[in-house]
Amino acid sequence: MSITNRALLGFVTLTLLCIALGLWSLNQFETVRDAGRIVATRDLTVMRQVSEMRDAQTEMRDTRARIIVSHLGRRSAASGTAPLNVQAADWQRANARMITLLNETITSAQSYSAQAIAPERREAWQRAITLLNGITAIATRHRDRVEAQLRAAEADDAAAVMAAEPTVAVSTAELDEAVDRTEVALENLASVGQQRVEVIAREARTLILFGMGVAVLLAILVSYLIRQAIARPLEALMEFVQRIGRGELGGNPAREGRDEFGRLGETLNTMVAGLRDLARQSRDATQQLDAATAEIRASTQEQAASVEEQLAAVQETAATVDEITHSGAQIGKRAQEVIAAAQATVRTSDNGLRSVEETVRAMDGIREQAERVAENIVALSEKTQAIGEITTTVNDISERSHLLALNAAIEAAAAGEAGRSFSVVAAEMKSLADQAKEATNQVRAILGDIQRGINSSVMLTEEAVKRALTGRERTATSHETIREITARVQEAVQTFQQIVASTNQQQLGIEQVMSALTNIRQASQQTAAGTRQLDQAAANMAGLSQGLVRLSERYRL
Amino acid sequence: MPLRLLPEPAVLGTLDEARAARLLEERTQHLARRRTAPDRPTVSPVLLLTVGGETFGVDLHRVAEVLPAEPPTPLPGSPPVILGLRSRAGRLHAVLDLAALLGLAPGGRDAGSGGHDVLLRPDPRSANGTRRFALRVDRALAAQAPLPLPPDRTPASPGGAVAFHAMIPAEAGAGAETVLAVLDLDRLLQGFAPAPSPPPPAPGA
Repeated sequence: MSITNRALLGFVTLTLLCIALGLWSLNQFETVRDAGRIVATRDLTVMRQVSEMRDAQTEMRDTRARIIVSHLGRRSAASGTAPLNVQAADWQRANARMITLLNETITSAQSYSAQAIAPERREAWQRAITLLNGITAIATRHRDRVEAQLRAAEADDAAAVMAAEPTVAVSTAELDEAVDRTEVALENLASVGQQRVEVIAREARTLILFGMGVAVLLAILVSYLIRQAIARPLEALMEFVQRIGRGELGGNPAREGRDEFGRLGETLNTMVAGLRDLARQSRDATQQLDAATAEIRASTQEQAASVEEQLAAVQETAATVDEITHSGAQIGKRAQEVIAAAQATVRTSDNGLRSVEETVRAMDGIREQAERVAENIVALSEKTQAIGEITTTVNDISERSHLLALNAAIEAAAAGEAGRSFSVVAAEMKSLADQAKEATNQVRAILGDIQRGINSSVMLTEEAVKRALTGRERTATSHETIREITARVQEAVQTFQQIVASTNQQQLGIEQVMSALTNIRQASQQTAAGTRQLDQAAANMAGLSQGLVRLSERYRL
Repeated sequence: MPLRLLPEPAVLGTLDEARAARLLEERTQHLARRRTAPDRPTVSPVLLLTVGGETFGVDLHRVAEVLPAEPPTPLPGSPPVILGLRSRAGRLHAVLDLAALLGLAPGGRDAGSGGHDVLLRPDPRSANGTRRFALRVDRALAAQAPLPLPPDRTPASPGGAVAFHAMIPAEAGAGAETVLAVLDLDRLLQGFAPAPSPPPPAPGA
C-alpha cells in the first residue's frame, strides 16, 4: 500500500471517527432535548389547564358572590322585582365550564401517565390524577350547595340564603385547597421531570466524554501507524541523501520498491548514478580543463610573441605602404606625362592622317595621270604601228627597187658596152634602193626600239598604275593603321587616364590602408596588452582549474 | 648606232629636223660625187649573193633576172635540193636550194624576208643545155665587179663549185672589205645535167 493511501486511510479513519462521535453526541443531545421538551410541554399543559380551571372557579365564585350581593342589596333597598334567574344561569354555565376543564385535565393526566418517561413520573401523575378526582368530588358537592343557595335566592328566602352561606364557604375553601394541592402535586411532578432530565443529560455527557476518549485513542494509534509508515523510510532516505551530500557517491544504494519511497529511492539511485557519471566526467573534464588551461597559457605566451612580431610586421608594412604611396605618385606623374605624349601622338597621327589622305589623293592623281600616259602611249603605239606599216610599204618599195636595180644591172650587163652607162644608173639606183632599205631598216629598228620602249612604257605604266594602286591600298592601309593607332593611342590615353584615376583611388585607398595600419598598430598594442591580461587570466584560470581538480577529487566514486 | 627611245629620251630628242636635213644633204652629195676610176684591174661583174651567212658571187652574164622568192610548186620525186618549179613569163624554172647545193646550213634566211630567186640564163655551151634553173638564195645583194684577191690572201685551191675568190672593197664609212667566192655555175649544176640525148632546141635561142 502506498504512502498516500496510508495517509489517506488514516485521515479518512480519523474523519469518520469524528463524524461518528459528532453524530452520536447530537443523538444524545437530541435525547436530552426531547426529554426536557416532553416534560415541559406536558407539565405546562396540565398547569395551564389547572390554571384555567382555577380561573373558572374564580369566575364561578365571583358570579355567586355577585348574585348573592345583588339579592341582598335589592332586598334591603326595595322589595321590588329583580330578574334573578339570569344570574343563576351564568353561574351554572361557569360551573359547567369548570367541570369540562377538570375532565379535560384528568384525561390529559391519564394519557400522560400512560406515556410517562420514568416510573417516578408515572407515580407523580397518578397522585395528580387522584387529587383531580378529589376535586371532582368536591366540585360536585359544592355545585349542589350553591344550587341550593341559588334556589333559595330565587325563592327570595333570605334566611335560607344566609343559612346556606357557611356550607358554601366551606365547600369553596375545600375546593381551593384541593386545587392548591393539585398545583403542589403538579409542581412536584415538574421537579421530578427536571430531575429526570438532569439524569438523562448527565448520562449523555458521560457517554460523549467516553466517545471522545475512544476517538483520541484511535487518532493516536492511526498517527503512530502513519508515522511508522512515512517517517522511517524518510529517515533512511535522509541519511542516504546526507551521505550523497557528503560526496560519498559509492556505498549501498537506496531501498527500491513499489511505493513512493521505493520510487524515490530508485530515482535517487538513478540520480546518484548520473551524479557519479557526472562527477567522473567532471573530473576528467576538469583534468582536461587543467591541461587545456596550461595549453592556453602556452598559446597565450606564443600569442604575445606573435603580437610582438605582428607589431614589427605592421611597422614594416607601414614603411612599405609609404614607399607604395611615393611610387603611386610617381606612377601618376609618369602616366600624366604619357598621356601628354599620347595626346601629342594623337595630334601627330591626325597630321599623319591628313598627310596620308593627301598622299591618297596624290596617288589617285598619279594613277589617273599614269592611265592617261598609258592611253597616250597606246595611241602612240597605234601610230607607231601605222608608221611600221608605212615603213613596210617603203621597205617593199625599196626591195622592189633593189630588185629592179639588180635586174637593170643584169640587163645592162647583158647589153654589154651599150648598157654600161645604164649599168651605172642601175648601180646608183640600187645604191639608192639600198640606202632607202637601209634607212627603212634603221627606221624599222628605231620603230622596234620605239615599240619595245612603248611596250616597256606600257608595262611600266601599268606597273606604275598597279604600284599606284598598291601604294593607294597601302596608303589606305596606312591610313587605317594610323587611324587604328590613333584610336589605340586614344584608348591608351583613356586607359592612362583611368590609370591615373585608379592611381588616385589607389592613393586614397593607400591612405585608408595607412590609417587602417595605424588602427592595426593600435589594435596590436591593445592586443599585446590584452594578451598580457589574457596570460594573467590564463594563470588565474590555471589556479582555478587546479582548485576544480581538488574539488572534483572530493567525490569518492 | 641604233637609236634607243627609252630609257634615254635625250638621244631621241637629238634627232631633230636639222640633223635629218643634214644627213640627207650628206647622202645627196655622196651620191652625186663622181666616182674615181678604179686603179686596180677588176674581174667581170658578178651578182653578189648571201647564202647561209656567206657571200658568193655569180657571173652576172649568167643571171637572167632576180625575183622575190615564191613558194615553188613541189616536184614529186625530186631530191631535196630541188625545191620545186616556178614559172616566169611562161617558162618553168627548177628552183634549187643553193645552200643545200653548197652544203651549207639551211634555213639561214628568215621567213619574213622570203629570200630571192636568181633566175639563170640557159647556157647552150654548158652541159645543162637549155635547162632553166633558179637559185634560191637568201638575198641578192648587188651587181658589182669585184677585185681579185691579193696573192698573199689567195687560197691555194678553191675546190668544189667555187671558181675563184675575190674581194669587194669597203665603202667609205663602212666596215672591212668583203671576201666572196665566185661560183662556177657549170660545176655547180653538174649533177643536174640531163642524160646524153639530143637537147631540145631552146625556145628563145
